[in-house]
This record gives sequence, structure tokens and C-alpha cells, in this order.
Amino acid sequence: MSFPVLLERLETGLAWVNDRVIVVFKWLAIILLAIMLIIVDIAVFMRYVMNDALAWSEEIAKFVMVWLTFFVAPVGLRMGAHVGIEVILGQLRGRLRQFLIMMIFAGIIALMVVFVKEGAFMTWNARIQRASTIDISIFYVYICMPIGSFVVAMVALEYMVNALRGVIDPANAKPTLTQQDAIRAD
Amino acid sequence: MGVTFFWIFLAAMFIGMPIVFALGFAPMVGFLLAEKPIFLKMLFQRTFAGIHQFPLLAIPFFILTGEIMNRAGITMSLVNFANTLVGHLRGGLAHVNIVTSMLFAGISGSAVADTSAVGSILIPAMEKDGYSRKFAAAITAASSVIGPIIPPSLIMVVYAFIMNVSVAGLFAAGLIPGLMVGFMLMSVTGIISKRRNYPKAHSRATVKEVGQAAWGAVLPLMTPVIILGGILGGIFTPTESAAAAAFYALFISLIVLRTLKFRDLPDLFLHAAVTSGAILLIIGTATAFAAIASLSQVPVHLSNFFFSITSDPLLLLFFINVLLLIVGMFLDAGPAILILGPILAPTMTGLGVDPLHFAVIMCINLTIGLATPPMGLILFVASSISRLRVEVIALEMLPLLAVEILAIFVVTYFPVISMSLPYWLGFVRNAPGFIV
Repeated sequence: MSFPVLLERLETGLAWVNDRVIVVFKWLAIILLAIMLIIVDIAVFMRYVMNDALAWSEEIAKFVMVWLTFFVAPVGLRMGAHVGIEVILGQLRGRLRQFLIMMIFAGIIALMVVFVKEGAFMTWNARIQRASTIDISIFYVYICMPIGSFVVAMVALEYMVNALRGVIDPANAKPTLTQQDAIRAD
Repeated sequence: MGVTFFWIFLAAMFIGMPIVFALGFAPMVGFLLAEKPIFLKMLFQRTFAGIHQFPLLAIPFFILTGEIMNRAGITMSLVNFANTLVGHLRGGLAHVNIVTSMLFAGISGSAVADTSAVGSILIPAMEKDGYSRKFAAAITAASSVIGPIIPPSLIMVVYAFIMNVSVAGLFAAGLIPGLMVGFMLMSVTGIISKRRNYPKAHSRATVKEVGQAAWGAVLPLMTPVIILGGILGGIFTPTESAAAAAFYALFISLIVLRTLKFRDLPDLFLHAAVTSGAILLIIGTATAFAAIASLSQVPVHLSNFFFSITSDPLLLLFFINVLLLIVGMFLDAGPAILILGPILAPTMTGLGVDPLHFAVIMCINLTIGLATPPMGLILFVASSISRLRVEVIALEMLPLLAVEILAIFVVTYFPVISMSLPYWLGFVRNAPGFIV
């Protein structure tokens, strides 16, 4: 199998996996935001109407927010929500553009490798810690970080492989989402 | 480690790496170059610690409220209400556009939501009424800037969080400048409309008509009452008020007005979640970046640089405003605040500028940056609604932008405008001077 064909297979495979994971994460994001809203609204109701403030609501809501942030990060990458300055990128065409995109995603993957490693380390160290207001292990709070970061890396890898194929032959490149496109697609 | 990572950051950002990743990537490379991989642990832990904060919960809830109100189509009732108030002026619908933005600003904390909500209704309506499409788009974009100045405001929540000032105090400081920007825009619109002979929308509305329109808009207009009244009155924390407002918005749109269906909710929540997640993650990496920047004494270098130009606060405020305007042309308001706030604010407060006053200057300035080319989110949205090129809208906007820049300097040099309300409500101890 020649190298370009191998790359194409790799990209298709990654896209197949990522598409499915992203669907799950999208639903997770919807549910987590809803849970956050319900928790804080119940807390407001209890405090002002029932005069009986909940002890656990702040901590749980914060945990859910961290989960939301890390699980939605790869979804955001797919939907073009992580904006950058595209003044230079927007002017470029062809191989040079694809090369820069490839480097950008390589950088993102490198950062995510650090995040997965440190996140996993922090999660593992926290396995015996308990949350202060409810009896759950902090392990379950932190676990979202290595998982979310790993999926960001997977999505970035898919885009990087695509950009590499674009460097080999610009016709292969998918037009990546730019800020303007993302808003138009809305 | 020196300031190498700062240059890496600028380079990564300018080739187009999303800012949220550039903020983490640059220190990472810096640490590896300095052969101090142990600090990578700190980079990650600071990122996590930056997100794991209760006050930040206000952000997803404010975004959700704006999104619900926008999709529930409450904008139309605001437009009708604004129309009875200012529709009879020359250039009626242009004034209606501005007043609707001011009303919408009290409901939503983001400028982009304002542009799409007001623009999709008023740009076609204005074109039908004889305005050029580019003027309609320009006035929509220019007036959207009021959105994050009049509370609630996402960028003010972000600023208050990272610089440790009171959200309520900052909201109070934004209210009068926001109204001022609105009225200044209306004056220029008045002049332009007279010169181009734009139409009046209708004859002056009777008190009864105004009352009816106000009654039609009363449900959405209760949102600012919940948010502002709750926060400024000291009843709610910003997070609680945001959650209550989101609940209220869901209640009126799903059950009272029935303009939103339950099946619309997943998509709506997804959009709110993705937008919030992007902001929260950037707050995380920016917190880590700011910590590393202060370890490497970047703020000290920068303030030394400023002091080498001048140590006169009046001149420094001028230079900083110009700097922020330039930064705002390229960067979104949120990231700009996260990166520059911790660097600039200590210098200025050290010179005796009130932290809240500097906060409001920075927020207004960078918000206006959202409407300036080449990178302005508001312009992109206005361009996609009106199907006009960004440059066309930007050019038509010039007089309106000029007025907004004037407003920045007025707020900067007359603290009495922004600081009176916070002083009156007890958020600052010293009475603001009339002039700096």
C-alpha cells in the first residue's frame, strides 16, 4: 500500500471513530448543561424559598462544569468554536496553507499529550481523595480531563492527517472550518 | 525561563493556532526549551484550577439565557416596543435598531447574539423602508457593541473573575456608559438620516400605543429586572441570577409564550454548551498563561516599558486605549482581557486609577474591537446576515465607529460617568472625581 493511500485510510478510519465519539459527547454536553442548570436552580429555590441552603450544590455544579468543559472541547474543535486569528491563514492557498494547518494541529496534539499525561497522573493520585460535601471519589471528577484531552488529540490528528494529504496534493484537502464559515454554518 | 514563550505565543497565534491552544502550547514549548519539564505539571494544574471556579458558572447560564430568548423570537416584541418610542424620529428604523439593541443588552450578555437577533429582523425591514442595506448592516453591527456594555455581560464576568473585582460593581459601572454609547449613536444616526433624508417609520405613537407595546414586551423585559435587580440589589450572586434568568427564559418561552418547543431544546443546549465550553477552556489556559507570565515577570517588563514612555496617568491611559484598540482589531474581547488584564491593570491601579474604572474602560474598548476589521466577530455575523462583504460594512460604519471611540475616551477621562452608580450602590468607597 502506498503512503498516500495509507494516509487516506488513516484519515477515514479516524473520522469514522471520531464521528461516533463526538455524537456521544454532544449528548453528554446537552445533559451536563441541563444538570448544571437544574442543580443551581434547585439551590436558589431552596435558599430563597425554603430557607434551607444546600451544602452540596456548589461543589457538584463546579464538578459538572469541569466535565462539561472537557467533554465539549473536542466538539468545539469539530464545530469551529475555538477561534484563532486567521488573517494570515485566510490569505494563503495551496500547499503552504496546508503545511501551516498541519503544524497548528501538530502543536495542538503535542499540548494534548501533556494534558492527557498530567491529567491521568492527577486523576490517579486523586483516587483516594473524597469530595468535601458528598461522598464520591475525586477520581470521577478528574477523569474527564484525560478523556476529553485524548479525544481533542484524536480530532486534531484527523485534521492533521488531512492537512498532510493536502501538502502532498492540495486537491485532497478538506476546507477547514474558519471562523466565518463556522458562523455561516450556524 | 525568560520571555521566549511570549514570542512563541505571538507566533503561534499569528499563524492561526486557535488562541485557547496557543495559550497552552507556548509555555509548554518554553518549558521544554528551558529543559524544565517539571513545570508542565503546573501548566496543567493551573488550567484545571482556572476552570474549577464557582463564579464561572454564570457564563454558561448567561449564554443559555441569551440563546433561549433569541430562539424564542422575543426580539420582535422588543422591536415593536422600541418602534413606539423612537419610530417617529427621522431615520426611525435606524433608531429602533439602536434602542432594540439597548433593550436586548439587558437580556443577553454577548454582542454576537445581539447582532444576529436584531439584524435578522431589522436589516430586511430597513431595506424595505428605503435604507441602503449596507447602512442597515452597519447600524446593526455598531449598536450590537452595546450588548456587553449594558449588563449582563459575559466579558465583565470574565474580567471580574480573572482580576478579582466585583461582578456586581462592574455591571453597575457599565450601565450608564452603555446607555451613553446608545444615545451617542442615535445622535450620529440623526445627523446621517437628516442628510440622506431617511424616512420616519410612522407618526408619533400615542401613550396608549406605547403602553400596549410595552405590555407586549413585558415578559422578556422582566429578565433584566431579575438579573440587574437581583445582583445590584444584593439578593442574588451573579451565578444565581444567571441560573434564575435561564430558568425564567425557559419558562416563558416554553410554557407562557409557547414560541419554543421542547424538541428545540437539545440543539439549543448544545450550542450554549459549545460556546460556554470554548470560553471556559480559554479561561483555563489563560489562567495558566497569566501565572507563568507573572513568574517570568512579563508584567514588570511591560510596565517598565510603559513608564519609560511616560508616567503621566492621563497619557498612559491614552496609550493603553490605543493599544487596546489595535489588539481589539485582531483578538476577541474575552481572550484579550484574559491575556492583557493581569498585565495592564496592576500598572494603572498603581498609578491611582480605580480598579473598577480601569475594568470598565478595558471592557468597553475591547467590546468595540469586536466590530472592527479585519477580525471582528460582529462584522462577520452582520456580513453573513446581510450577505455583504465585511469591508463594505466596515467602511459604512466609520462615522459610527468614530463616535464609539470617542465614547471610550469620554468614559476614560470622566470617571463620574461610569463610577457614580457603583459609588452610589456602595461598590467603591471613594466618590469618583468628575475628571481623571
